[in-house]
Order: sequence, then structure tokens, then C-alpha cells
Amino acid sequence: MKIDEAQLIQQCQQGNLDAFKSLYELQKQRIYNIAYRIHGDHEDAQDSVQDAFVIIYKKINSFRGDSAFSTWLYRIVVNTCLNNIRKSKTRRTKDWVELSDADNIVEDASFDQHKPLEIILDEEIQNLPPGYRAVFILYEIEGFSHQEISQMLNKSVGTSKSQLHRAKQLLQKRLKPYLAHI
Amino acid sequence: MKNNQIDKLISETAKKLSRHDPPDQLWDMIETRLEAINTHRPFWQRIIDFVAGLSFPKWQPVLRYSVIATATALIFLIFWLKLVFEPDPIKVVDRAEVKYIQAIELLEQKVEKQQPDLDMNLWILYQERLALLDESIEACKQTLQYDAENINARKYLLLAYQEKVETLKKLLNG
Repeated sequence: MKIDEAQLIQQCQQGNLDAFKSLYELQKQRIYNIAYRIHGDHEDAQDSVQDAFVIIYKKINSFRGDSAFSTWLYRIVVNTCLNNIRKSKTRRTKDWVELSDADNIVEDASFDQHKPLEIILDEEIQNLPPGYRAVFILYEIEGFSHQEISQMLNKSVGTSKSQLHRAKQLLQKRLKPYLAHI
Repeated sequence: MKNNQIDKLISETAKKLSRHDPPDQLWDMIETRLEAINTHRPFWQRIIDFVAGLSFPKWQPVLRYSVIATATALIFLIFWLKLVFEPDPIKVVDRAEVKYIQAIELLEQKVEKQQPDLDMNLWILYQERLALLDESIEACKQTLQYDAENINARKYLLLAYQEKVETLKKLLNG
């Protein structure tokens, strides 16, 4: 933990809102990006970031430095996003898709061959089940290790690895028809 | 394209995906919610949060508990000292009695000096009154010989002394 960060956390623990703002400024881009990628929607991402900061504010005194502060922070953000998805009844993302159902989706999938791969992948990430999606985003986009992901999502390293593998399998099946034309 | 090639392509493309910035007003929305929590936080909770937020060396967690234990011990010590040094009502009454006796002696000396100038009828009336008060004082003292902690007897004793002082003052002022 950096000294500045330690001081900032200490001030946050004393209820200093300016310190919280500094903390937000330090982490806002990554936090927002994670929330946006998990939700696939700016409005939902903003709601989850707000909820996450309320939880962080209430729980910051329980942070004892056992893990990296950033891991603790992202853990709250990711879990808040996943909880909000679970709670949301009118979510725009697709419901949990079993791996066995993936073939049916692939059969129905029709891709605009002129679309760049980035956009296709972006859309397909949103079609992943939330749990797989979170692991894929954290590992492939945000660059966290499986160890960090396991701490954030309260899963074992093995589960994190297997969920990433399953997410990639789903993406492969969905993207194969598109990539066949390249 | 083979699976491992697709896998690699997915990983590479994922890293290139555009990043999104939060809107500028997001902090304002968060701040509004945090302020609402802050105003509803009870005072004791703020004290606990402040103490919990105090920084202690990570290598010495015992220090935090030592500070809390010392603070608790100090609070108990203050209460104990207060109990020990709280004035004993009997001693307070004894001190007041001594002061009344001293005051009465001084007043009686003055009255003796002024006696030739005083009205005889008035002097007799006052002497009767003082004799009654002396009887009351004596009765209270006798009660206290058998029951030294009798608060009522001490209270009446003080009242009799007070009355005697007032009577002597009135006598002097004519």
C-alpha cells in the first residue's frame, strides 16, 4: 500500500468526504469501466458505482489491510454490479445461458461482416452469463490475476480459471461464424 | 481458424476494447448520498469511526488494544477517585459546627461588651430565647453521643446553631 493511499484510507475512515472524493478520483476510471462492462449500460453502471461507494463508505472501517485496498474496493464494485443484475427484473442483458444452449444461439447468430471485431466482441461479452462475464472482464480486459479475481469474487482460483475457460468457449462458438469469413 | 488462434484473437481484441469514462456528475450524485448517510450517523458512531480510523503501526496491533484498555482504566480510576474523595456528610456537618461555635463565641463577646447599653426587658427576652436554643443544642449533642451518624440530629443541631447566631446578631443590632 502506498503511503498516500494509506493516509487517504485513514482520512476516509474518519468520515472525511474530501478524502473520499480523492479516492474516487484515483479509481473512478477503472471502477466505472468494470461496472460498465458488467452491465453493458451506462445508466446501470452509474447506479452500481453509486451503490458501491455507499457500501465502501459504510464499510471502510472494516478494511484492515489484510488484502490490497484496490482488491477490496473492486470486490465491492463487482459484487454490487452482480447483485444489481440479480435484483433487476427488467435487465437488458440476457439471462443466464447454460453452456449446452450455446449452440442454439450460435445457429441463430447472424453477424454483419462489416462490423469490426471489437464491436462484435463487445456485444458478445454482454451475452455471457454474469458470472462468466465478470471473470472475463476482470482477467482479459482489466488484467487482474486469477488470484486477485478469486479474492474479489470470493471463489477459488480454480473456479476463476474454469469460468474464464467456459466464457472463452462460449465466445469462440459465437464468434466462429464471423471469423470464418475473415 | 483453430480454437487456440480464436482464443488468442479474443484475448488481444479484449485488451483493445475502448475504455469508458464516468460522467462528470457521478461524484455529485455519490456525494449527495454520502452526505445523507453522514447526517443520519449518530454521534457515538462518529466517535467509534474516528477511533477505529486512528492509525497504528501494522506490526503492532496490540498498541490499539493497549490504548483502548488504558482509556477504559482511566475512566474507572476517575469514578473510583470520585467515590473515594466524595465529601463525607458527617464531616461536612462537623466542619460547619466548628464554624458556628466560633461565630457564636465572637458574637457573645460582643454582646457582653454591649450589655450595659442594652434594654433590660429586651435582654431578658433574648436570654430566654438563647437558653431554649442552648437546650436544643444540648439535646442534639446527647443524641449524637449515642448515635454519631444520626443525620437528623446533626441537621437540628446546625439549625439550632444558626438560630443562635441570628438571635445574637439581632440582639447586637437592637
